[in-house]
Order: sequence, then structure tokens, then C-alpha cells
Amino acid sequence: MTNPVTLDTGRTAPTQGRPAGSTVITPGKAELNPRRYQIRRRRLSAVLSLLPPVVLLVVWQLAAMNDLIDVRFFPPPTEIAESARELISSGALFDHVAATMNRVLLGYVPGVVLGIGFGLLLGTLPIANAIFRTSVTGAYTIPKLGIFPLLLLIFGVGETSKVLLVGMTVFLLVTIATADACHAIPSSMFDVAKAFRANYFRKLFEIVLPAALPPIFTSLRLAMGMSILVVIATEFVAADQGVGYLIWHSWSLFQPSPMYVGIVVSALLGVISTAVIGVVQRLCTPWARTRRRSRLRFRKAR
Amino acid sequence: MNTQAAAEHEALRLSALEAAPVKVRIEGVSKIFVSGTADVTALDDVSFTFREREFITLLGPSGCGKSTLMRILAGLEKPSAGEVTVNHYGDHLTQLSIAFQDYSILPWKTVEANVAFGLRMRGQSRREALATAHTWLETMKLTGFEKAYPAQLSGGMKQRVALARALALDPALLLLDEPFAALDAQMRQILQEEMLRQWESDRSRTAVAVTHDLDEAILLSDRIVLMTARPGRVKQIFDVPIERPRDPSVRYAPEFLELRQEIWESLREEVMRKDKP
Ligand SMILES: Nc1ncnc2c1ncn2[C@@H]1O[C@H](COP(=O)(O)OP(=O)(O)OP(=O)(O)O)[C@@H](O)[C@H]1O
Ligand SMILES: [Mg+2]
Repeated sequence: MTNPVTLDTGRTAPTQGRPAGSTVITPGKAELNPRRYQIRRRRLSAVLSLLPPVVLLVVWQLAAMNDLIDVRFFPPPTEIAESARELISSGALFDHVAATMNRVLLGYVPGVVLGIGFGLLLGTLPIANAIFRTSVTGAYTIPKLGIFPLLLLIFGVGETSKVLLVGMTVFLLVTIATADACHAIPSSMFDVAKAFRANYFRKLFEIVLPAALPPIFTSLRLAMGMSILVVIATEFVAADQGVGYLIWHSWSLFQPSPMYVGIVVSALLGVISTAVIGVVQRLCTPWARTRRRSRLRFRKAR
Repeated sequence: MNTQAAAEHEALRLSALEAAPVKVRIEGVSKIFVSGTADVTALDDVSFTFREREFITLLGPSGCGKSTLMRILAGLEKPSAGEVTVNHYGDHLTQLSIAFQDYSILPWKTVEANVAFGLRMRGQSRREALATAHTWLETMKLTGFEKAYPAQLSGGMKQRVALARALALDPALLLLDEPFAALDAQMRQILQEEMLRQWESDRSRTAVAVTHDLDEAILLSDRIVLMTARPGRVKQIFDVPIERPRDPSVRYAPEFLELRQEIWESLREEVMRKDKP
């Protein structure tokens, strides 16, 4: 039979037989056993996340053992671990951590609550935004540690000055993040509120807060890291307990091992507290959980 | 045309399709969405084959897995079981492109940049890609909106942008997920006819479209695959025995209306079936 198809595009008519190639789409590992695949993925990523610190420790240990680094400043990890064991068994480390986290939470929790509240105000009332926005931005930019001496002068060396500094840091960061998150809400969602006659408070809790929640949580995680950082820094100068005190005190006594214990502990505190916030986030934003795996996967275009 | 000549012509057309090589083979495809504790079976053992240069329409109640099947064909999703084979022939610019049901046009790109996107991703120069984009925007009656952002467009206009973006790629296999759903009745009819005209003047592609519009399905397709309510299975496959080139007025021909009635009765049964969650 002659080719029945006329083409006015000048293309050769691809009528007969053999394909130039073909793509076969079959179930992948993820589809064949979705649950086991997910568990495997989670396990793999947990293992991978340990890779950088483990590599660092191994390199460090080898370098120290072979005298490639000055062990007076960089004691081998085994020695640091020994020091950690002592600090743990004596209960001293627990006391330091408790003191630090106590200050962090006393500042963080009120700072977050007030920051979200004030941020929502700025995000929903243009007049409030007009009045406060510039001042908040300015205050945010002031180095918090720079005004710590001032706080010490006013409140003395007690807890108040440290907690206040953390609270301020968190408050300003979360305020800005919340207000920006409100401003980024698509107007179609406000249309829903308006069309169905939600009053201001209903709108705030039914539309604005849920829509802004994911970016707010990002700021909560950043703020947690900053709180720990700020508390530890204040403990360098004005405390007789806490992880910052441990670091500074060890250093001034020229005991590098406990100093490194303090440094590692502050990193662990950051990792753990951020993970806790992540869990809270997942509980608070169930709609954001149907996330597709591997959004960004690079593969050859077909 | 007398009936005998028409029948002969039709037999010729169908045998031409028979002779065409297989474009896509779908074999025992199932798709189960696993989320938390409740699994949703979207597709259940779907099998059918279509040939080069066929225009296939998927028809079925809402939620029966039509979009899911399109996403599998496009390689965006993998089946839970079964196999899809897409054969490549000819010398099209691209093997495949898709117009999404929810448009998925990029809000930060202008209309022309959205339409040119696929071409740019394939390495075309800006100028070249924009030139192609402009001709398609003209076809879609969007001249004057080249520099507008999607937020400034109506729903139907956005859908036409998505359609232009898919067509600009000159794909061998064109996937259209409810391409005219957001259009007003007049624009829909005009674009259906435009699509028909282009399809028949350049019969080098294969197309799979999803629609809920029976007239559109019959007007454009060679075959119509009717799916059951969820879990989606192939219920029935209808040949459309209307010769090409088709005139839009064929909508009022008795054979058209008869087929429409037949499909509707079968579809109605599925739509009325209680949808289990
Ligand atoms: N990513 C997903 N996760 C979980 N379930 C999904 C997902 N995508 C689709 N589904 C489910 O699969 C089923 C089929 O969905 P699909 O979008 O393919 O339907 P459809 O036939 O295109 O419907 P419509 O005609 O309304 O567009 C639905 O029941 C839907 O709830
Ligand atoms: Mg769909």
C-alpha cells in the first residue's frame, strides 16, 4: 500500500516498522515496594549525614597521631572523648547544658510568641507596618552582643541580661520573617476570606497564620541556632556555669580538651533543638506533608 | 459522497492506521498511591496500544486516573506495576510534550518566555525560541499579551499559554490533559476547530488527550478510551468512524450524534457509580 498520509510539513513520513528507539517506563524500586523504599531512604540519609563529622574526626585523629598538627591546640579526638566521659560522669556537663538551655528557652519561647504576634500585626495591618517596619529592621541589624555591656550595666550580671538578649534576638528575627511571610500570601487566599466574610480574627487564624506557617518555621529554626549562639557568647563573659563558660574557662586554663567538648556540645544542641522544631513543624503543617520525593533530579531530557 | 464510496474511504483510512507502527504500548499498568495508612488505587491493570499518528482521547469520571496515566506516559511518574513502551520514529524536534491540567505555567516568566521555555531548555537561542513562541501565541489568540505576566491573565488565557508551550515543542507525542477545560464555550469551540485543522494538515504526530467533553472527544479522535470509575480500568474502546478531513459541522451529523449517545450511556453508568474513597 502506498503511504496514505500526506504531510505538508516537508517531513519524511515515518511510517514503516522499526522505531529509532524506544522508552520503556516500568516501576522503579520506589514503586515496587514503596514502604520499604522509604525506610531505606531515611536510613541512608541518616548514615550520609554522619559522613562529614566522621571524616573530620578520622582525619583529625590521624593527623594528631602522626604529629601533623600541634596536639597542644588540637588534641586527638580520643583525648577529647576521654574528657567528655569525665565531664559526663561527674555531672558537670549536664549542669552546663542545663544552665545554657534554661537561658535559651527562657528567652526563646517568649521571643517567638511575641515575634509571631507582632509579625502578624505588621503583616496584616498596613498602618502598623508603616510605623514599625523600619525600626524593626534597624534594631535587627544592631549587633546584639554589642549592646550586651549596656544590658549588664542596667540589669547586672544575673540571668536577666542574658535572657533578654536572647529574647530580643529571636523577637526581631521572627517578627521580620512572619511579616514577610504574610506579605507573600497569594491574594487569592485573601479573596477566599473576603468572599466568605471572615472577620479580622477569623482571617488571622484561618488564612494568614496557616499560610505563613511554613516560612515562620524556617525562621524558628534559624532563631534557635542564633539563641544558642548568643547565650554561649554571653556565657563567655558573664557566667559561672553553662556551655559558653565551659569553653572559655577551659581555654583560659589552657585545657583544650574540655573546650572542644563544649564546642561539640553546642553543635549537638543546635542539631537536636532544630530537629525537635522540625517535628513540631510536621505536626503543625500536615497539609505540607504530601511532599514528592526528589523534587530536583537531573536526568537526560527525552 | 455515496455510502459505498464513503465506506471504502473509511476502510482505507482504518487500514492505514492498522498499518502504522505502534507508538505506545501500555501493558497491565497499575498505580497505587501510598500515603500514610490509606492507599489509593488510581489505575488498575490498564492495557491498550495506540499507533503512530492516532489521536486518542481518554474519557472517564473524575478521579479515575486519567491525569495519572498521562503523567506516567510523560515519564513524570512511574507505574506501580506494568510497563509502558513509547517508540520513537521520525524527526520531530522533541519526542514528547505535555500540557498540564493545572497549566503549571511559571508565574515569574512572561507569557512569551513561558511558551519559549521548552525550546530554550532544548538549547535554542532566545531569538529563535521567541519567534516560534510568537506564532503559537498568535494561533492561541494571545497577541498583545507577549510581555504580560501570568497573574495578569484570565484562567482561559493561562490555559492557552500552557497549550502553546506544549505545541511549540513540535512533539512526536503530544499529551493534552483537559486542554480546553478552562476556556469559555466559544473559545473552546474555536480552538477545537483550530486543533482539528492543524491536526489534519500535519498528520505526523500522535496525541493523547483527556477531556470530559464528548463532542470534543469525537470531533478530534480516532479512538476513544473509556475508563471506569476509580480504580480506573479500560471499560470500552470506541472507534470513531468519521472520515477525515472532518468538517466541524460533522457535530450535527446523525452518525456523530449516535456515537455520542452510545458513549454517553456507557460513561453515565460509571459516573453514577458510588465513588468509594
Ligand atoms: N500525588 C498523589 N497522591 C495521592 N493520591 C493521588 C495523587 N495523585 C492522584 N491521586 C489520586 O489518584 C486518583 C486519580 O487521580 P487523577 O488526577 O489521575 O484523576 P483524573 O481522572 O485526572 O480526574 P479529573 O478528571 O478530576 O482530573 C484520585 O483518586 C486521586 O485522589
Ligand atoms: Mg485530571
